[in-house]
Amino acid sequence: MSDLASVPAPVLVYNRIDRNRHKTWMLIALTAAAVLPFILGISLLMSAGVVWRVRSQTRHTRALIRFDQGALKRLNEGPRTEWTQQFELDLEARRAALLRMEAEDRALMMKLLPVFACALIAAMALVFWAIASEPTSKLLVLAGANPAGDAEHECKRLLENLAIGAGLPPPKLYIIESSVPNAFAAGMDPQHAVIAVTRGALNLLTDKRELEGVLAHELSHIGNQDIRLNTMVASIALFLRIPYLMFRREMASNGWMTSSSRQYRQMRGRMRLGLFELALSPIGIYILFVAPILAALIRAAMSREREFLADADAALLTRYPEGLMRALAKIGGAGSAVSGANPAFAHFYFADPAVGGGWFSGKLLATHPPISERLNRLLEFQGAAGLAGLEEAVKQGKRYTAERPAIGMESDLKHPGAHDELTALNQGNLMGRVYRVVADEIVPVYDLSNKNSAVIARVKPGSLIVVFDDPGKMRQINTADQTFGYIDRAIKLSPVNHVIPTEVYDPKLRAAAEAALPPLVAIEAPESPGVGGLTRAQLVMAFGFGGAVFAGVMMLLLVFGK
Amino acid sequence: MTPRKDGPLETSLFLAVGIAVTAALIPLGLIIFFVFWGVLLYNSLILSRNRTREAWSGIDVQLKRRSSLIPNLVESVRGYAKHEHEVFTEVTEARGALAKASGPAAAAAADQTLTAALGRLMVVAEAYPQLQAAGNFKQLQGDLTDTEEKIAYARQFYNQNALNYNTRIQSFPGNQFASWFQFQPFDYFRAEETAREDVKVSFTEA
Repeated sequence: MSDLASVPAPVLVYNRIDRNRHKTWMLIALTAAAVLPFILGISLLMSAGVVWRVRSQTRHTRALIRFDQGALKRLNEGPRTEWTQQFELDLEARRAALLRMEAEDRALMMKLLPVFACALIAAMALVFWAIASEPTSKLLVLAGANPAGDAEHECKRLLENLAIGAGLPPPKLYIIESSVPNAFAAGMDPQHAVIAVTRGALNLLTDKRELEGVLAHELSHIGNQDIRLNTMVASIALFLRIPYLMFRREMASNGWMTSSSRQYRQMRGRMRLGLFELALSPIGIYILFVAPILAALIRAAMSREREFLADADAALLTRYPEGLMRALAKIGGAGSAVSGANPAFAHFYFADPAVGGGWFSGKLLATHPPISERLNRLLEFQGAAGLAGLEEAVKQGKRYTAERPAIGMESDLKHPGAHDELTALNQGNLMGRVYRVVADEIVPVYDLSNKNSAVIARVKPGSLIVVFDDPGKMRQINTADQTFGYIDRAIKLSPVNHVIPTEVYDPKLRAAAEAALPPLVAIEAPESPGVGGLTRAQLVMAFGFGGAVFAGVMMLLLVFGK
Repeated sequence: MTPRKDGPLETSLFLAVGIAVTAALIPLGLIIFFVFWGVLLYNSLILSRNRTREAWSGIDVQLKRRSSLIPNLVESVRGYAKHEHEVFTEVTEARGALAKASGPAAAAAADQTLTAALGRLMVVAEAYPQLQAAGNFKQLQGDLTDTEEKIAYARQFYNQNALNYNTRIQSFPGNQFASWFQFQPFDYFRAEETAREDVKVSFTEA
């Protein structure tokens, strides 16, 4: 046992890691508990709406009964006749019919409920797919990141060395041209993971050990599979917030009030009244207000736990917690609010990127624990020895913010509305997405979107191109030398998710990216973008999912329907 | 079909057969469970061992990389300090010893010697400002420091894996498997804690 004792392994850290894992499982269970009533509530509302629409007879019967009751009351004021008696009998019959109809309505609702629930689960899977299919390039493009060059050689070297210690393939390093010190890790698996560091972090963390601490923290996120978990959490949190975000957008819009069509104004006004009524019902309150807060709470709690875990792992990896502590102190002093960061992805960052004063900077909803708390937990590993120099680090951070050059301020202008989470879903990659040509012969690039126009360039099979999300007859592309043109939609392409357009345009970086790709012959089934710009995998997934949902609905109907 | 009447004899016969079948099935199920569990345990031990070996090859690669840097370094120092024969032979011998060393413990010891010898070489180099200024030497020195760091991280990764593997084959029930299938514990790659520091610094402080 003496062998064990001699290896430097702070048992405390291992305990903490185990405890954090445990908590994360609890949080996942909580998420499921929050999603279930959400889905049930929405499907209940939807089926009630359908029943209301389809079974107008119930409605009419109810109105008739009300009318008849009034008439009967008036009749009873006079002398009782045979006619009154007949009227009462009719009313009784109608009431019985209404009861029967209501029972039928309820039965129909119960039949519809599982159908809508299945559809909603399918929608959740689609949201997840939308985020997970290309989280890396989307995050990088949204943040305005560029691949690291020779100037960041030292940072790259540190990352490579740390990756050896963590037993991970070295992730690609990206630089965000923003003076705010921050960083994030993204990707769906360690093989394709990326780490992005802001220019501010490189400038502020002058000591190698501090930068090493930040990089080790991000590397631990990759090693702990947090990057995938973060993507899942982002999609679940976003899904739970969609009704609220749509409601907020609807409430904020007032262009309709000045519309020239009176009919349209009335229609919108009535719709808004209905929305208010819905929002004040118990189900509406849960869907619109409770669920999004729960989602934010869960996301925040999960992310906070993971931050502590990554801090602990980083301390273990570098065996030098002071570096990370000083980096945290400096970043805490300087502030870490990244102006272009989408709130849906806030929990990917090293320090909280939310701009202060908003909802998400509150203690409960914050995606990151307060820096002082993170420092306190690190102090437990380090003892009081780590305290010295922290004050100085905070001061350095404050001084940095006071005199930092104003770079990266344009990110807000570039992505207006980047603060609404819905944009994370419906905003395509403005800069285009990187694809690889998997055709057998050289591909002609046309000047205009028809094949009779001039051929302005030719693309070799296996080379990388940038494709824009445009539903035209032909595909809009940029070749590697930035020639804009059109190619045939039938040409087989395969997406390269972990490469961003800027890398394709730079000859040196392109060569590096191409070298890392498998040879063309190794790609067995090239994914061709088929119907509506979807790749084959996406189509298979969609049809498979649709088929599964259809089969489930059919079975439910067979079981419950008579 | 006419309703059948079960006599007391038939009922008890049925019960007896049922008990016999259950009694036979329970041990069978237990055996299947243990065999399955044993296979899983064995496979996870193999995985753990292979990972540790892989981690060791990570150290090996870095050690070789450092060895390949040394001749150039020695040559560039020799160009300025011809008379310091002892240091040069010491470094060359230490390098040869490291190349011959097999197994983590021996390699760690040889690495230690080489580090000390390199430290002395750097002290010699410090006396020649011209050498310090030469771009080639600076580059070599930087590469050497980088490799030292890589060795330190690779060592950490290897030791973590070895610790994990050794704990598993030394604690119950892994120790039973280890003795049946002859799983050997790995040696740790130990180095002084100062190894992470720059070679030059660690020597001058000592």
